[in-house]
Amino acid sequence: MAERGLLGLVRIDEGLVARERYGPLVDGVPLGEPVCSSMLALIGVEDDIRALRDNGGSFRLANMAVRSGGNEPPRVNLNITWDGSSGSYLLILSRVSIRDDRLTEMRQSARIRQLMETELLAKSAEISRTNADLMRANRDLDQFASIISHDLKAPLRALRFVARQLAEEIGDAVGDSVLDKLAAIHEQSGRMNAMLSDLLAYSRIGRKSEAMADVDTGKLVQRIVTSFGLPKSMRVDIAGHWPVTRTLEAPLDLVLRNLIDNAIKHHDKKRLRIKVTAADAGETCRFEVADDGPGIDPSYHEAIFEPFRKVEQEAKPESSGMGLALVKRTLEHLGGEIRIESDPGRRRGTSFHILWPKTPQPPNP
Amino acid sequence: MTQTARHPPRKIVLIGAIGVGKTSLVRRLVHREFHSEYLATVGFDIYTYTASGAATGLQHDVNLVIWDSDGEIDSGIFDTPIIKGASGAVIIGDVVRRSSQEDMARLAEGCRKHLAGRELVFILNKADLTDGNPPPVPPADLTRFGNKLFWTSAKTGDNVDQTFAAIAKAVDRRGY
Repeated sequence: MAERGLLGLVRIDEGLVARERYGPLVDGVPLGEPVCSSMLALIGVEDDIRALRDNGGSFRLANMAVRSGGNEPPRVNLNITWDGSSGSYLLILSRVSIRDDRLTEMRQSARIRQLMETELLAKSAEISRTNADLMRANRDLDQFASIISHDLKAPLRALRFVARQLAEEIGDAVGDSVLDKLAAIHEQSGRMNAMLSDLLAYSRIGRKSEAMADVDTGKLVQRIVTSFGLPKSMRVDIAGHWPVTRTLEAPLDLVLRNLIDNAIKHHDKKRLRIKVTAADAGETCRFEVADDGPGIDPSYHEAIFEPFRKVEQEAKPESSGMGLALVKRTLEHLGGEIRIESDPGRRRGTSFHILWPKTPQPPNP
Repeated sequence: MTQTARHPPRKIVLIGAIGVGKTSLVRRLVHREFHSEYLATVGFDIYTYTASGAATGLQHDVNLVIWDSDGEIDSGIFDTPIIKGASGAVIIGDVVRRSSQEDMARLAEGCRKHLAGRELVFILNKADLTDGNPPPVPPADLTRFGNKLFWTSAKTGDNVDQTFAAIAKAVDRRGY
C-alpha cells in the first residue's frame, strides 16, 4: 500500500458504518461507527455518498489535511466509490503527489505575485497623488510667502516713510506729544516689517534645498562675531575645539548668529561677556552660547521658543520675538537639539546648549 | 472532541480571497499562534475547535469542525464537496483591501444559493491595520445582506474568540 502511496483504506457498509480498515492513517477510525460522524472530513455528506450506489462515480476530496496538535499532517486525497461486488463502499486515502502539490504551489505563487503587484501599483498611485498634493501645497506656500515679503511690506515701508516725512515737515509747529506719536508709528511699522521678514524665514525652513559642504566652523563663528561690529565693552570669547565638518552652512550660521544676537539684545548692562564654545562629540558637534546677562526664569524656558513670544520682563522693541523660534525649528528639522540653562533666582547668566548632527539628514522639501 | 447525538459537531467553512487571513484566523483561534510570513493554503485544512458554554452562553459546549479553504478556489468552491454538509459559512475579507470585500459579496450570493438556510457571517480581518482608527464603513454590497459582520485581527487576537463563539452559538441554534 505504502509503495503505491496508499495511506489508508476503509470498507464501509450500506448503512455507512465502518467495518474494516487498513493503513496507518485510518487507525483511529472506530469500527462499527457511522463514518460520517467519526471522520471529520465526512460530516454532513451522507447523501452524497449514498448517491454513489445508484449513480456511480466517486466522492472525492482533494488535497486535504486534518490538523490536530502541532505536527504537520500529511496531505491526502480522499476517494469513496461503491463496490458492487462486495456491496459496500470503499474509502481510500492516498498521498497527494508531489507533482500536484508543486503545480498548485506554483499557481498560488503566481496568483499572489499578481495580487501584490496590483496592490503595489495602487499604493504607488496613491503616493503619486499625495506627492502632487504636497507640491501644490508648497507652491501655495511659496506664493503666500511672496505676498508677505512684497505685497505686505510695501505699504509698511510707505507708512514708515510718510511718518518720518510728516515729523520733518511738522517740525516745531506741534507739541512733543504729536512728535512722539509719529515716532511710535515709525517704530511700530519698522517692528512689523521685521516680524514679517522673520515669519518669511520661519516658513522657509526646510523648504529650500541646501547643499552639504565642508565647513570650518571656527571660521564661521569668527565671521559671525565680526559681523556684529561690537564695541570693546562687549566681548565674545570663542573657545573649545571647532571642527571642520561636512554639514549645511546656512542653517548652522542661522543658529549661531541668532543665539549670539539674542544674548546681545537681551543684555541689561553696557558691558557684557559672551562665551561661545564647541566640542566634537563623535556623530555630533556640541555648541554652547553662554552670556552673563540677566537670565531667563525657568517658567519661560519653553515659551521663549514659540514664534513671536518674548519674555515680558525684558521685552525689547527691536526684537521680533522670532530668533529662538527660528533656531529651534532649524534644529528640529535637521535632527539636532537645543537646551537652555538659566535661573535668575540662583545666579545671572544664560547658557544655550546645542547638539548639531555632523551629517544632518533633512527630509526633501 | 466529545460528541453526543444531541450536540453533534458543526461543520463551518471559511471562504474568501487569497491572503485575507483565513488560515491566520483559525490558527489564532485553535493554536493561539500567528505567523507573519504568508503561506498559501493549498487544497483545504480541517481544524477542530470547542466553543465552551461559558463563551457562548449556552448550556453546553459547541464543537466546530472548521474547514479552511484555498482562496484560489474563489466561487469555484460551490462546485466542490467542501461546502457539502456545512452548517454555516464564514466569508472573510481584508479590512484594507477593497477588492477582497467585493469578493465577499460575490461569495455571499453563492452561499445564499448553495447553503440556503445556513448561518452566513462576514468577517473583516486585519483590523490592526486601521492604526486604532474606527474601522472604515463596510461597503454597501456587504451590509445589504443584513448578515452579522465582525471585525477581527488574527495578528493581535482582537475579537477572534468572541467572533467564533458567536458563530458557534448561531449554528447551534439553527440546529443544522
